[in-house]
Amino acid sequence: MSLKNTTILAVDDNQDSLDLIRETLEPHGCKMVCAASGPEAVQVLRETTLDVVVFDIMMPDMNGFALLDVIRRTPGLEAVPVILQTAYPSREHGKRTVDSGLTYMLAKPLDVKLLVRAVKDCVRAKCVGASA
Amino acid sequence: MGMPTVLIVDDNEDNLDLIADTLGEDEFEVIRARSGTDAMSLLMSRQVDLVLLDIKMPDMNGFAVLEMVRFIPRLMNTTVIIQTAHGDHHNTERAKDLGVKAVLTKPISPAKLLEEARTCLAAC
Repeated sequence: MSLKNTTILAVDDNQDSLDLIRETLEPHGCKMVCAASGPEAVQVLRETTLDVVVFDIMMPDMNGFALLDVIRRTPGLEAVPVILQTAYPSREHGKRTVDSGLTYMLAKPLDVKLLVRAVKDCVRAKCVGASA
Repeated sequence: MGMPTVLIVDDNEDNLDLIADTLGEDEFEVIRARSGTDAMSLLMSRQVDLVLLDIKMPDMNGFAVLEMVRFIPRLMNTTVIIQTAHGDHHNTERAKDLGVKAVLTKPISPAKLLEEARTCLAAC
């Protein structure tokens, strides 16, 4: 499945992590938009139509839980697929994110094959939802 | 003209009570948020004249609230006073760069809080 015509937002305060996500997904044909913080991501979300958002939990000032909360409260973004990455997967993290409408959670260090599969699943589910 | 609306943002219930009691109900309409995300929801849905914003909060701190407020056109000129236990030079400079009117260090003097709130609202 190609990711052509899809736009994906990646959010991470670590430039190396952003580069890894971009270099992993761009060859599949998608357009990548990157943000270095939660507030910057919200700005992008307000101005760009996105198909999937990928972000880290641990970020300064505004962590992934808060970003997910803001996304879910923003009109038009209630259902945007979200993939969260965490270096510290835990039951508590899992429960909080599921309660907030998370689509996928990936452990860090990132397994790029799993990332591609998760993004494709999100896009496929969105297409099925749109045509239903 | 109605009373100005003041939004207090703090994850500590005692601090919210303390500030609300200091401001009183005669001069200001006081609304409260216990997190950065709740503060953003209130700011998006209501007209707020002044925000008294804590810096250190879990998940989304005061700087993230400030940054978001400054890029949303309807909110970008919102008057903000920081109330923090961590009023060091770095935080104060960062707050001023984000257009904060005053930085009050906890424990907050009620007289100083009222004076700053009145001064900020008079300048609006």
